[in-house]
Amino acid sequence: MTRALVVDDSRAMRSILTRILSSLGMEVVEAEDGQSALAKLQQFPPFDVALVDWHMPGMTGLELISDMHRQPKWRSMAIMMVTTESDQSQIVRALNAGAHEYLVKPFTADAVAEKLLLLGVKFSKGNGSESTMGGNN
Amino acid sequence: MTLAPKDVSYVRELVFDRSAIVLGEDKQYLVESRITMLARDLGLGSAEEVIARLKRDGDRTLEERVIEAMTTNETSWFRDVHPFNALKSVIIPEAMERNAAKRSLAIWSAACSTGQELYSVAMMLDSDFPELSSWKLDLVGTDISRKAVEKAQSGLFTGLEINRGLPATMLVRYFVRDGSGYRIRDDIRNKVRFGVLNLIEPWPPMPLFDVILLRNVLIYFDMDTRRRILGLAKQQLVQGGVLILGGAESVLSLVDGFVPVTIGTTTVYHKDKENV
Amino acid sequence: MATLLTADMISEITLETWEAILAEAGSRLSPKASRPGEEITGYVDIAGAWRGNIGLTCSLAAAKHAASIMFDMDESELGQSEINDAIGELVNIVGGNIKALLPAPAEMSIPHVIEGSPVDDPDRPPPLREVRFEWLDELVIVRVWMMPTDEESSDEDA
Repeated sequence: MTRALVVDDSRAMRSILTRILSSLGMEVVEAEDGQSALAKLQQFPPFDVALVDWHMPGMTGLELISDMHRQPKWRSMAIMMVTTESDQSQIVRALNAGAHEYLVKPFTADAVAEKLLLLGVKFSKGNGSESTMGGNN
Repeated sequence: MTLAPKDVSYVRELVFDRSAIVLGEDKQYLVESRITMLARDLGLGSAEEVIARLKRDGDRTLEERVIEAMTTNETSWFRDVHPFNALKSVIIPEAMERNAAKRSLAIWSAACSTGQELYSVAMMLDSDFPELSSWKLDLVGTDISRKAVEKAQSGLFTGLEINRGLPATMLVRYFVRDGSGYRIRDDIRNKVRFGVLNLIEPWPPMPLFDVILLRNVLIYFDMDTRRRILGLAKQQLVQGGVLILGGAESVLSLVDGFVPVTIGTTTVYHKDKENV
Repeated sequence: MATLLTADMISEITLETWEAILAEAGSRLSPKASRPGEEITGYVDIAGAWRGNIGLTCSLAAAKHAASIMFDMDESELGQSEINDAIGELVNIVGGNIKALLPAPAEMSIPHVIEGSPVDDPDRPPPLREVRFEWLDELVIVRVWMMPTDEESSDEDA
């Protein structure tokens, strides 16, 4: 089963992403900040993909990604930054730090699935593709 | 608010009549929601009012708006990814070999919607085939919807649209911010041209294409119409040219003269060299 | 600088956010419409090439509805912390996209959510931009304040 790590300080956003990824047949672990994410990376078997917010208290998502990138054992993990930062220069910074893909908030469930496809992360789509971030479908 | 079944039928028949697109009986909800949104756009009170006006006034512009509303579909960049990999790894290199002397390449996105498919092709050619910069490229996108074509021509996309399947590296390289949205760069915009074309009406004169993308549109037509369009598409291809359909679609049993070829996980259709 | 950020842009950002996250299209109200219920506000603060705040205000009912969608929980199960988190994330998203339209570089704070409305605060100046939305018969308002930067405020009295 494909395993995903979701890192965001907003519980609502973690809830939304976990729902989307679970509906794509993935197993999801959540972390509320950078330190907690590093702990989960150590604690759990390897993840296939990590979705990382930029602005979090303490370690930023950019710092977390740089840390992850430095560790050979985590380099095979696909990393997608998920953030409101949409400036071209910010996207370049994220890609240079080690992010493979970048999703700007707000986004729909379809957008997440399509980015995962670009990353080569395996998932299974249920019926119908018109789902959005909200729970009411 | 639920539309009366006869109103839903009216819309379904109008759409079929004008565009040969089949909206099945199970599309009640789709008709309701799209016409309600259209009513809101037009400042009319309800879907019922839109339909009442259609029946009463015979307003061609309103008819066009209704057909557009019913036939627009969500679209994304590099949709399904694998066909673009097939283009990059096999189809374009083969076409370039075939056209080495005349140094020109023609590609048609035949249900181009708001342009993402054709712009994706243009970006891919620009980034992966630098040799083509000195070639004559004819990149054509057509769609039944004038509104979609105008939007494609503008090259302007919202944040939600940009998120759909566009690799971040392409976003950085080929787009600029424009107000609250994004605009594709002029050098890419200048490589493509868009026009309105209803696949069931006579086709205007067009070049013969090396590649035709006809993705996820045949499913909306009945069998006879599909056969007719595929036959016309075959005539619009050069010898050895390639037809690319949507993921769940197949040409087989409908039209002779296409040879299926599988590249990775994508099946494309070569115009058969023996049967012209 | 103010002309960089129009009411139309704010409107497009907010409507897109609602459409993507809350699956229910809001529709833009005319500036004159007024409805009751400015009961909760999420703010983000911006500092850098420009200084200011962005506030998202709505009724408690609207906030609960948004939280119930975002958490996929029944409204009766929601606590204040979920409601605040939901509003906080909505202003984070709308604010981040507004920030992208204004001079860079600028940092955005993490959101903070309070009871009530900016109009309750007599010390707060009127916003530079205010856009009103209707969502399921509830009012949602996005406001943007810009403060003079340090160089500019040295000419003013406090």
